[in-house]
Amino acid sequence: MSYFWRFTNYLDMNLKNWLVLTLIFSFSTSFGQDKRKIEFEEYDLDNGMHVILHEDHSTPIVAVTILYHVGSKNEKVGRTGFAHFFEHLMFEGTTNIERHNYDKHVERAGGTLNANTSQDRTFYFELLPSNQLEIGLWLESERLLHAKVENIGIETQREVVKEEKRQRVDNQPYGSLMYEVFRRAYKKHPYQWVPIGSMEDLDAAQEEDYVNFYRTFYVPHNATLSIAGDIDVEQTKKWVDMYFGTIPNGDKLDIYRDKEFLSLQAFQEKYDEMLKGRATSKDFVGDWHNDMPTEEFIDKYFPKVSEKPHEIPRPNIKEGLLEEQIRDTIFDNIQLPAVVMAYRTPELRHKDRFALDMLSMILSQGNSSRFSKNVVEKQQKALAAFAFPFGLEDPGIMISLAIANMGVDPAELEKSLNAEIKDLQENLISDEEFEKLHNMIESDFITSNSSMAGIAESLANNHVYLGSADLINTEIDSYMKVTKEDIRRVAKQYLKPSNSVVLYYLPKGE
Amino acid sequence: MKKVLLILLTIVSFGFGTIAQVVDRTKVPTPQPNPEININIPDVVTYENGLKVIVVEDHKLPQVSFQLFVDYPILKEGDKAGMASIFGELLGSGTENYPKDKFDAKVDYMGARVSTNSRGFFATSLKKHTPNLLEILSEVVTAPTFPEDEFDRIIKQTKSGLETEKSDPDAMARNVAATVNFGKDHAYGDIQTEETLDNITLEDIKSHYNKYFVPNEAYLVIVGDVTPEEADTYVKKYFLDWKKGAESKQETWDIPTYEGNNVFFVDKPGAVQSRITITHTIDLPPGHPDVIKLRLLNQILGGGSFSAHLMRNLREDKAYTYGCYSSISSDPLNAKFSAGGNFRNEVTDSAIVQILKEIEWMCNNLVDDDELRLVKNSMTGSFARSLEQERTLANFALNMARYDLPKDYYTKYLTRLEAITKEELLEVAKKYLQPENLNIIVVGNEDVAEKLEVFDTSGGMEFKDSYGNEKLKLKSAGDGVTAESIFKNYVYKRFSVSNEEEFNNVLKKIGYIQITYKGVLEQMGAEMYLTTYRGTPNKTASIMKIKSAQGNMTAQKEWFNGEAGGTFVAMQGKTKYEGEELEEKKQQNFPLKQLYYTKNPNINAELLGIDEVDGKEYYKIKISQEGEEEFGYEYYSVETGWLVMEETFTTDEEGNSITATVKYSDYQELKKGFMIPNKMTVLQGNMPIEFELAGATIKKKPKSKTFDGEF
Repeated sequence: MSYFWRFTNYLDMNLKNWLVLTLIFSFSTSFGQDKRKIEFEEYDLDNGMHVILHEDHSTPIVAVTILYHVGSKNEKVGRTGFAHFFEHLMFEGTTNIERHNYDKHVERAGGTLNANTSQDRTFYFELLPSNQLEIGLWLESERLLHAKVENIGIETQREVVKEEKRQRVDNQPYGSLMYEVFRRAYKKHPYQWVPIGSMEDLDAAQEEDYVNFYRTFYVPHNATLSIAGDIDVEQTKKWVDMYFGTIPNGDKLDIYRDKEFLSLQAFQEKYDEMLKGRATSKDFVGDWHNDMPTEEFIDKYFPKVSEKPHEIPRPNIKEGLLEEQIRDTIFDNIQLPAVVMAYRTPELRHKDRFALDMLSMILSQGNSSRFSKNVVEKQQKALAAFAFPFGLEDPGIMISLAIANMGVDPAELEKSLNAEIKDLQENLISDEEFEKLHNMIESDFITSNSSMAGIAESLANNHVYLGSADLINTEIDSYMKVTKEDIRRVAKQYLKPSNSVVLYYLPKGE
Repeated sequence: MKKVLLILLTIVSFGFGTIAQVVDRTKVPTPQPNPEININIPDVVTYENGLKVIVVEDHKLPQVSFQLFVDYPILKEGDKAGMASIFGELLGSGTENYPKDKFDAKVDYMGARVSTNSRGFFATSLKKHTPNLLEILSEVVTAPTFPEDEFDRIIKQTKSGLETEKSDPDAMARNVAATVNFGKDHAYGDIQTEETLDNITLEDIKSHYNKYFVPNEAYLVIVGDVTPEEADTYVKKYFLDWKKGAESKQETWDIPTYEGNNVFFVDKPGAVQSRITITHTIDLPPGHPDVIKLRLLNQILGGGSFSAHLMRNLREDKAYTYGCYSSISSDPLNAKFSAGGNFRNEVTDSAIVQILKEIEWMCNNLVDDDELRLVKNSMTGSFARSLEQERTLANFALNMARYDLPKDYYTKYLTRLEAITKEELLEVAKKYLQPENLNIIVVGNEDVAEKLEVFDTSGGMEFKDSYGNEKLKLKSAGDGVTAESIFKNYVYKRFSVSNEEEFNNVLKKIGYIQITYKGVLEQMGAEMYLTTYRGTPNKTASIMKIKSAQGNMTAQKEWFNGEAGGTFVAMQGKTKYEGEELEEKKQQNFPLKQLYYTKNPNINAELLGIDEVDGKEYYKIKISQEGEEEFGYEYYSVETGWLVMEETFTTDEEGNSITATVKYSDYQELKKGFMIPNKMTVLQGNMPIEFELAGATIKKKPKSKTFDGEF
């Protein structure tokens, strides 16, 4: 139930590990060229849910994951933080699983579970011994079909989320960085708030918000089930069909959930018209009280109800690059000043992403990278300096961040960082550097996706964000096509002052 | 063929979709038969120079990794704390044939990763680069150069890193736990500070390398797309030039003992959460039969799952925290138990109550059968999952060799886990956990401290600094010394008078004081001018101007003419004094505010005692105002009576505290006996701005347009 925020996650770690992590991030969606191909199958269920299966018997474990295509960018103004908060609530229980028991089922099965929420998605996973696959499918199908959201859970999880924010953002040096960058880098797009959102908004949420959110986004055609590990594909498909294929969609799913969560009276009122008076019949009331299975109940009273999926609302705001540099100073409980330079970049599907990823590698991957060698080592201006692309489904951000060495003025540090960027805008990188990039990409590509959980996640991400799960095998080609000129061009086009947010983090003091 | 098959399968699966499957959702699915878990722990091969090599084959990906672990004793570093870690970093900073730049370029060129540490290195690359990588690694071991400039840089950067740790509650709690649990004399009580880093020399690093970095104490772990034959060739070609050395013996240290529970508090101004660590030492060497039982016990008490007692109670039930965990480590010297997390300020004491309750519960109750079953399953699963990483097997082999574990330690691990009973758990809980002899460490806001005294058995809660040193209690100021006497002494001294009569005479001649200080912001290429105006009885004005190449600007203004006034802040605009603030401005304050502290009923001036800073003694007086959160300390030299420092603590809109420090020095006579500090230092975080006196005027009449806001 962690809150998915790549950057603050790095901050929990040693500074030194950052480079490695950013690197994993930038290429987590890529894979080996002439090496091991990741075989998988994918198909849609009738209700619109997408299924991806990858079979690998090297360890007797399986990763069961569901990616819901909903994140903080689907939130409304006044309800920021809702997607992440909802993720917390999705562990509270279902019609068939009592409160506090969801995770116990997984532990009893010898597995582990968690979830995370980003700007674009909410991702749930169970890692299980392979003989426990079915329970993973059952648990996830319960969450999709009829998760129960009750007041006691809402109250508790609201406080937990507040503690999460205090721990990760408020009480953490530089913890507010993403918040401060994103709120300035976007004027209209919902990326202007971060997944943790606003605590006031969470307090303001009403019951209908929960119902609407669940009905709008937790529906089969907004979900990608991705399974990787020691599985028998045939058996797995049977179970997937049994647990997920039988989940209705459209109006039928709404009625299904109402039947389970509304009181008889509320149900009668809501469907009075549709049932043309039958709602108060003895028969109806009897079936209701006798706990007739929901499917049967719907078949009997709503035989013609539509199963057509509802359309999922998504933000269609297109915000171009920034037109004027935004500069600001943040005073935080920190000891060393930091300089943040953030640039707006295109969306993940844009062709320039590859060149931008490579640009950030030149800047900060490895000890020989420009920032590390020059700014950190030679000039000793920074304790650490990084550049990493924060690719998102809609136009994203590339962030460079440097923490000043003791006694170094931020303005001086900014100058040094800018000098490195300027060089890349004016000059082509050397042949040797270019080869280095290719070798790094190849190495990252081959060695990433070494775990079942990672493979399941990459397949789902590629399918949802990029439109093809197979990019797990082929994306490296796009990197290899990037030229030195491309890298110089994107440096000029995106890393220009007018397209940037520059923040100085300074120690608090009067 | 395979493709055709895939298509067929897909069609079949759609077929299933059309057949309505009967599903009973109320039933928890039953598992399939248990999968087999294979554990093949590799052997250790010893070479002629004593190097022990462990090889784990994993041909899934074309990569090979190398880990070197030199198992020299755990060392006490004392006043050179941090030495081994500096050594570790410097180890990767260049070799004879690969100076730093070349080294980095070569490693990155291969897309390889190399990181060095105090006990060796970890390196990985694609198999096709392995020989080139080994070329470098071999030199890291036998021919590191320890360049001086890199040494200086690493020391400097480590110091900067320490700076960031000063505000990190986890690091603060870690330091205090280390010193409290193990004591300053123990290797585990070593704390890195700027001082200890300054004590380290390049010679120390070199002699550390010569003395301890020997192959006969080292393990080389090779994992990946490699056969034992290939591995053998690698070792022979690249690591046998490494010369054998003398082996060193492990020293041991006594650890402190405590009576009852003891509370240690570390003040973190502005904290919105309290970091609580509840801990004590235990005696638990690796491989001891109780290790696995305690691991199980810990899972139930405070493991990573949401159903562990601490998590269930403090997060899922009470919502005090995002996470609350415990840990029990095994260690060849001294191990420890620890529990805690981050909790919002208001529930700090309640959280401690609950954590203590949960620890005690474990010592008095048999755990539930269901729970035991659940945790055993969960641990079995976690053990199985860990095998996904081939490195796990390598670590098993390494541990077995290092700690001389029985041959079936890991292969029979699950069998032993399965056999543990709840009675055995209670037994180890009683044997190891000490709910009545705990160190309770809290890093947090000063406001929460007073509620914590009750947890200290003997009532003597100790205050610590962020390095785990005792925070000295203030000495008593001595008989006859009061806040009022200190203020009076200071004010008289400013006007070179010795009694009230003389002072009143001076006041007849001086009714207006104007002082300007100039500060240089070197790195910004700017100058800052700060001018204050004071007129009898309560007129004030001040202005802050910044002059730079970009032009001049007024950053702040403030004025009050006895009746009305206000402030101006650049980019925020003007605000008028109103209400209480206005009333407060009307209070008399000429010529020095200290004169009126004891007369103004809204101001509290409390003499705390004598504080020692850098070997000098100061009277420390707390100044606070009725109904205001803001407060401050004034420091007066015991020796000279001068005011030398003011600290102000205020809170911003988010509830975080802001600290400002102003230091005064070099008091000299301006004229007519009026003394004035010629130097002033304003501390903004860690960036001090030095000010020098740039001009001053004293007049009889309190006349100036500035009091009306006209500058």
